[in-house]
Amino acid sequence: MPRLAIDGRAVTVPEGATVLDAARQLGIEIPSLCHLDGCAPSTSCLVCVVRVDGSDRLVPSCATPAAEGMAVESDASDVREARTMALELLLGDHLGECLAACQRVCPLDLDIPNMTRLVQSGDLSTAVEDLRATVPFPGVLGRVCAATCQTGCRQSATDAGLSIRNIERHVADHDRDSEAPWTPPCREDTGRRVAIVGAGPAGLSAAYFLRLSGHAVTVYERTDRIGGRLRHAFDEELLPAEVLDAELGVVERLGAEIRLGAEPDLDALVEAFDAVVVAASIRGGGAQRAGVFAAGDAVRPTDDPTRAMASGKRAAASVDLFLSGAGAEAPARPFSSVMGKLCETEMAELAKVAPSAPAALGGEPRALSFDSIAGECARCLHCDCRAASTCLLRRYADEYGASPTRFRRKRKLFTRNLDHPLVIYEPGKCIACGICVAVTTEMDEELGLTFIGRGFDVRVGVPFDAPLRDALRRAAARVVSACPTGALAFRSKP
Amino acid sequence: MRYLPEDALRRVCEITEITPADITGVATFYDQFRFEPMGRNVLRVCHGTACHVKGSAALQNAIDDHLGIPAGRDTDPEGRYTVQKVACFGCCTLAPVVQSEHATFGNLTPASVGGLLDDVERAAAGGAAKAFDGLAARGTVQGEIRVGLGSCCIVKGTQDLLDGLRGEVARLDLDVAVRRVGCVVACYRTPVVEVIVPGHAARMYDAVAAGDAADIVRDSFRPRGVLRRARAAASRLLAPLVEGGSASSVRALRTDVRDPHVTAFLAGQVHIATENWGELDPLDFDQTVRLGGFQALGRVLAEGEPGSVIDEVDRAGLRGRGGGGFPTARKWRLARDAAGDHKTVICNGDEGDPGAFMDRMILESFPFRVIEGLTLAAYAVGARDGIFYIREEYPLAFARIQAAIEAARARGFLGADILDSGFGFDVRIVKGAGAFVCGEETALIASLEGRRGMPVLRPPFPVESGLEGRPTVVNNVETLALLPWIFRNGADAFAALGTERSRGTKVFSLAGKVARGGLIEVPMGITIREVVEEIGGGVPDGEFKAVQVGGPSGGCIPAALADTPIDYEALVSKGAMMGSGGLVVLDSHDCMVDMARYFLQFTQNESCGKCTFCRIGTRQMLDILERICRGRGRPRDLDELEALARTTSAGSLCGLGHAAPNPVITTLRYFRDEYEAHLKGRCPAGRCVELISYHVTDDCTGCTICVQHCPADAIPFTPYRTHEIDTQLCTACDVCRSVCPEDAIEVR
Repeated sequence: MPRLAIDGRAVTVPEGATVLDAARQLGIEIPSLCHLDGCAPSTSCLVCVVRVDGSDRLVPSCATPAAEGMAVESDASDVREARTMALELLLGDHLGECLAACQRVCPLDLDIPNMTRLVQSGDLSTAVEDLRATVPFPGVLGRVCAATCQTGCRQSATDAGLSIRNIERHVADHDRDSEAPWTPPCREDTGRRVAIVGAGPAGLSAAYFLRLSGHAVTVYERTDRIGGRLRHAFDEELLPAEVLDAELGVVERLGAEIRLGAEPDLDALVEAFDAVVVAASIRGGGAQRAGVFAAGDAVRPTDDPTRAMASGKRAAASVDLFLSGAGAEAPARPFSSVMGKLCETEMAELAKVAPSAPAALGGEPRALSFDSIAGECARCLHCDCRAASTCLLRRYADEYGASPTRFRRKRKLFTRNLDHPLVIYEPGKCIACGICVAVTTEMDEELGLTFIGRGFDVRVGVPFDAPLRDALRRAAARVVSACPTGALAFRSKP
Repeated sequence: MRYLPEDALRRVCEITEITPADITGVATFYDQFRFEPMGRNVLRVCHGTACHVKGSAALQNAIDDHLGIPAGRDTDPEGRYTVQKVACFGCCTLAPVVQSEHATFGNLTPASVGGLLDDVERAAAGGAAKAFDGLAARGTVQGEIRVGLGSCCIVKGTQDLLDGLRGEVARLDLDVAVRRVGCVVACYRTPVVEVIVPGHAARMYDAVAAGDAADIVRDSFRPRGVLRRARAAASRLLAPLVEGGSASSVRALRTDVRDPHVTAFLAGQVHIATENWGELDPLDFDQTVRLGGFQALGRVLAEGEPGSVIDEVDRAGLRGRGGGGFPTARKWRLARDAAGDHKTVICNGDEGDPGAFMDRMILESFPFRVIEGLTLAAYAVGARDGIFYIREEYPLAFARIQAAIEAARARGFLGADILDSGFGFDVRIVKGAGAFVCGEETALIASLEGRRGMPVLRPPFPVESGLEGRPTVVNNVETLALLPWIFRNGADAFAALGTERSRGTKVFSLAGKVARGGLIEVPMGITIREVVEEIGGGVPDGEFKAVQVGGPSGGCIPAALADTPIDYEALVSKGAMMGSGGLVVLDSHDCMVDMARYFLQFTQNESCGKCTFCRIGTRQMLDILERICRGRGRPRDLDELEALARTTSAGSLCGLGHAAPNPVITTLRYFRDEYEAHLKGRCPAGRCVELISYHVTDDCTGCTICVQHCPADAIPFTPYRTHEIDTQLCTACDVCRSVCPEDAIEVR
């Protein structure tokens, strides 16, 4: 039972344990991409390096046996620098986008490809749940959103962008017209109380997300109706009052208290509440005070309802952070890998997922049948990463502040392999960690996966260039769950 | 078939346990495997360090152009020629070198490509290469003629010379043995012939040609018997040679070991690993024994016990000559103490460093000595079987070791009960399939096990868990070759040589811009300056600028630090390392940024591709260096290079990645001004093609030779007028400068 110290903390581990095991036992997190419990260490990613006994060399903790009396440094500045560089080297050679272009330009950060996949598979109820977790009033925005996503859509380079607004509208309307429209669940009550001044799109959006976070919310509105600009900026034909009322009504259904005709004094609110969101143009300013957050018109007046709602959503996130004691900073944008411009052959690679897509519907707002909407969803190129929320490379890049551009070089061509009915393989995202090779070997796949070539050009592929479906007859689920990035992923949520 | 058709690989998977994943992984890892048919002729262009500094890149381009080989491919569309790049043939003193299947060609220039291809076709038409080792030597009465037959010597036509000498001896019916000996070490003088007549001083002839054979024989010997003498005289009358003329011409080639240049070349040397060089027939077992071969083994088996054998090596202070300098005795002791009764010893003959050919020469010239060394190692650690791991690029070394193993086995020096001692040990040979990283012991073991040559993290060290999980000692060729001497002469005699921490001698291949290149064995502690200036005779033209020590793992030590002694720690303190012993001399025409780029190109190519720092870090460094060499460097590139070098060195998994940044670190440390000049768009050495331009000076006589040779048609035909080079069309191939009889082409 060797006893060692990591960052000065002593720990005793079982015989045969590695330094990584010992660190985990102490609750010290060492990042690792290529380690898979139960597999022999592959020691390829080198993101888990530590220093042992003051040596000049750094060693991978996943393969270094814990030894009696060892002194391990896992948090020294040059250890962290080496890890950051390993991540940056991998990112410099990484070809793929964490988020689809449409999502990147969406002020509300809607995962659009996820929505199109759910619609295509007919799973409208999950589509609604995911949609309403991100967009407060999709029945409204599905009609009046400025839809920058449709311009951002990579299909717009070849044909017309997807009619995303109509898809959103269809999903939201389908829900609202159903017998039991979806009300998203609120987290447990935090006991904290937040006042919101202004019941326009920004204020209501802030109220919506603060309620989802479990905070008690009181909305003060100067006029006698909620909705602000949404009430008169659009044609009744485009945005009927009953749709607007039904969509905005969710705020009260979630338990927010709304006080109409109220013009409260800011000082009194600050006194009475744990935090205040000012989402209306009010006299005297005062938004520089601790616990007071600005949204919507209080920041910058806008006619764009999406931007206003996004502003409210950001304010809610800031308040939530503030109330949890993390300070009043706006939440950082998560790490996002970007490919930029794609050439024609790369576009053709992307388009392999939509081989027989129907003609574009066009972006004009209108109500459409499910079949038309599903057909439009079939045009989606799914240029997002299926593993965006689970990818370890992305997570550690975030944690270590790794720059994706420091070692950017002339990039390879983006390709994707769709030979397997369930799995998509995008080699540009592969970090050559070897986990999938080990898994297919262990599971006795007849062909399996193998390393091909050597050095910088090494790649993971199928022997004899056979199709992926023959390589992954048994091991598909295991390689997908073990892949640390989105190189091997299920084409849609299983 | 010379390639691996997919059907054949599939069939292998059907009839063996080998899986498709394994066979694909292995077949795509090693350089010697290919998946497309070869051209009818195969040329291999050496890109070793010495060849690089003597223009192998331009030579390769000229050959590819001449044969119409498309960019990115190695075979012309008609399938006539396949032209491959090879890391190093170890013929560094003949640089730049090209090998065909039938012959090796040295000292080439882009202008000589046409002639080269004619020669290749002729050699091919002449049939298969002559056997290297066809004839056995016999006893001698009248005298002995010795011909060096290392790979380098053979390149210079020594095989034909040997045949000529034997033919003449037979014709004159002399009792003279014509013996092939191993490497004659003074490669710069090859081919060398030594004639020994009992009672007379040895006569040496250097730089001789095959046509000189008859005259060399007649210079020292007379036919036996009156009748034969008459017959010989008659045949000589028929020969198109006038006796006086021929004798004087051959006498002009005579040299002797007292010649100042030979004396200087040999003066500082001490021959231990290369003992009896120029004297020993590599495969003459009896001669080997007469000269002390297998004495050490005999004595150790009769008297010693393994523990005392290790103690002796410990006292000698022997450290591994493969590069790292790990104490040999300590390695052996760990293996001896390791659990398990099946242990293996491996001779690492995977000498892959460009610019190094010591191990090849030792294997070719002293095969019995290395076998004896390996047997001693086996006895010390208690191993029952041994393996010679020899790279495919060294066919002669392979053939000689194979023949030597058979001879030793036949005489009871290998086998179940060696010399009736009760100790049993036998060896086999395995060919390396072409991967530099397999010089690293864990990668070497992986490749022996039939896997991709990927290193694994140590510990566990191979001495505890190596081949098939058994305790395994991997020793370098030179290390093993030193052992017999140590046991014959005593550990103290060995330890008396060298420095406090680096004992004994080190073999170097001295090449590059040096007057006398060759294989040298020097006592540790000798300074770089002594090696370059005294043994090597200095830099022939231009100014001594630096030495590259240790190949891709080593570094460039500037002339200002030439008083650094050859010593493991001293070299490391200067940022280089002993490496396996390549020593390439650089002069003022060599660009240090280009040197760093060259080595990074090599390591990047040879990285196994496993760990992030080596796989991508070396590529990033290469990207930056290529950018700088093209004059497109950015100001922060130097800092970025330093950061990459530091972290790649600290974080890489194995020795290759750890040492790979050394060429960058040392050139940045000692030649930062050259990097900065490149950032400003200037290559001070006039080497980086995109930063230089060619111009004709007023010395031009308008002879049009450059016009005729220019492959880019960049020089208009203007007889008797000063030529002009169109810098837009010029590809900076250097042909014009190399052919100009007036030295009227300058590089700016």
